[in-house]
Amino acid sequence: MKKIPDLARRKWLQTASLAPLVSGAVVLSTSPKEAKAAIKTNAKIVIMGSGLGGVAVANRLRRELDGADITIIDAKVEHNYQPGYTLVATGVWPIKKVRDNNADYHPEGVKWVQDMVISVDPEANTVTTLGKQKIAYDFLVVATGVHLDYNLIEGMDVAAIGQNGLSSVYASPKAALASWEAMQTFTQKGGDAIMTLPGTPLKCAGAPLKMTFMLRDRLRQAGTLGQSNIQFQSALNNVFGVKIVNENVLARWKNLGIGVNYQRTLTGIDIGGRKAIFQEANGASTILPYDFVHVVPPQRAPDVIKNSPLAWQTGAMAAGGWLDVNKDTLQHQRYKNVFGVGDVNGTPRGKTAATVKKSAPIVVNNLIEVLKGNEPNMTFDGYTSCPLITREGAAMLIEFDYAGNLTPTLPVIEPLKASYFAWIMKVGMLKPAYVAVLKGRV
Amino acid sequence: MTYEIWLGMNIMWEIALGFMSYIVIAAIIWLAMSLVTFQKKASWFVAFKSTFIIGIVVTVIAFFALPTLTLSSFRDMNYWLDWATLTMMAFGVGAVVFGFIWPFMALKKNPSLSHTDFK
Repeated sequence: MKKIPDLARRKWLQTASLAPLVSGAVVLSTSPKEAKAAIKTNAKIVIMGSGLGGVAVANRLRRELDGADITIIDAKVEHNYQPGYTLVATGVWPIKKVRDNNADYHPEGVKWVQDMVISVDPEANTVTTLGKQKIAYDFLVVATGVHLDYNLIEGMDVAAIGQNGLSSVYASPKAALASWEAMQTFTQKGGDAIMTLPGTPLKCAGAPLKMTFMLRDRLRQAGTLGQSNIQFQSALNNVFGVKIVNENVLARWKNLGIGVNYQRTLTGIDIGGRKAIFQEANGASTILPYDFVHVVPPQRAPDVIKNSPLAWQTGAMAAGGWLDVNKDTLQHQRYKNVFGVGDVNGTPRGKTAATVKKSAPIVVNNLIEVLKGNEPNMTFDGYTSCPLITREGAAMLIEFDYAGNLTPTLPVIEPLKASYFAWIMKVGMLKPAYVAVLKGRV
Repeated sequence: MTYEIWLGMNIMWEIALGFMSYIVIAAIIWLAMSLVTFQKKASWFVAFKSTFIIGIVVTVIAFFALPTLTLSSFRDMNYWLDWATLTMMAFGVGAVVFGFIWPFMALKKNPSLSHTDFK
């Protein structure tokens, strides 16, 4: 038997050893092949919004439908990684890590109308844009996100964030960076800090808490904790909507010397005079001076949804104009060709990126089932996740469902323990996971 | 669990994409060195022990350095999962260094190779 020459055998071994790497790279660099063939259709699908939800749904629909006419409508050119805003606002990340381009994530073959929808007519199955385009649809996916209602705080000026001790992590990447600048200035000398929480549903309900924990840690690092006082003013009777987490946070704050007051709604602010005006439960006004304030705006659905037939008409969600979807199927309760994904949904919980990660595949599946003439057949459990930073270097990985049950993804995770693992997840792994969701891979 | 594995793979891929140019350059250097090492018939096994020791040293350094490099500290290791995370990360660094320098060490460990060894 002829022996294979040594050199040829070695070359073959070298090549063979590379095969797993190359094949793995090919698998991950291309769209994952579906076990089932793409469904042939000429349905017109309009997606309002190009945040995480809108783009994730677009990528999945593009892959699973052959021939569908898919249009994303959003004027926003920049794509922002909003879960990173608290990291920018507390000096952990640079601003560039939360700024990307929407164009990099839109799938090929999907039309992008760079405009804003100003009205929806679900009876006629049309949307109208600011630029007066009337676009018809067979299916509508609402992914508009929330409206930050800074207007409800008299005297508030988003452009003034960063000055006179004013911070607010929500408004934009630049506002997050300006908030960090304000925090740095404050921690140099210390003083009185007011952290706020409104009474409305919020996207990332953990953000006000993360800002509070990190402010306290930055004061400790700066050596000015001793001459500082942090007071958290909640418009509610708690600081977090999941009872066991609420109790854990309050216990930590008690140990850290952070005071809490309840049923105080921020209604006004004197930026130059550094005074915050709160309304108490009994209607009385309380004015609190501050050296540093973190303003969390009340939030609601954008006008285009709030003022449309798509919003909840009655019940607890009606005031915010949230999208009237079935909390299990995420299909609109009255207009069966409309689905909602992300923060705009009027569901009991779930205004986080992790919610979109779990719900986008369900929305796509159920939309396709309805397209085929069936009923939605997948349900969403309200999964929400909040990596709650407790100080620089540690976080709690809180995951829960509609019922407020803690639902850790891995059984080895202890959700109420501040840990290095959760910190590494937050600063190192969640953005890559987010991008994978954007691309429709997970 | 299949979903979590797929998610993990995608996370690693997206992280790698951010450093792809460095990874490609390092891979080209490593492949070139490996090819030279094979062609010169250097014994990889001769270099294994010293390369392994370097890998262990790097692992230990990484174990102590990684908390600070990741803006954390040992006081944030609150339960076994944290220590396991840190240990795996340190081993990962050590394994990469081990794999990368092995062909270099193999060549270095065989300085007596002459042109007459090539047939």
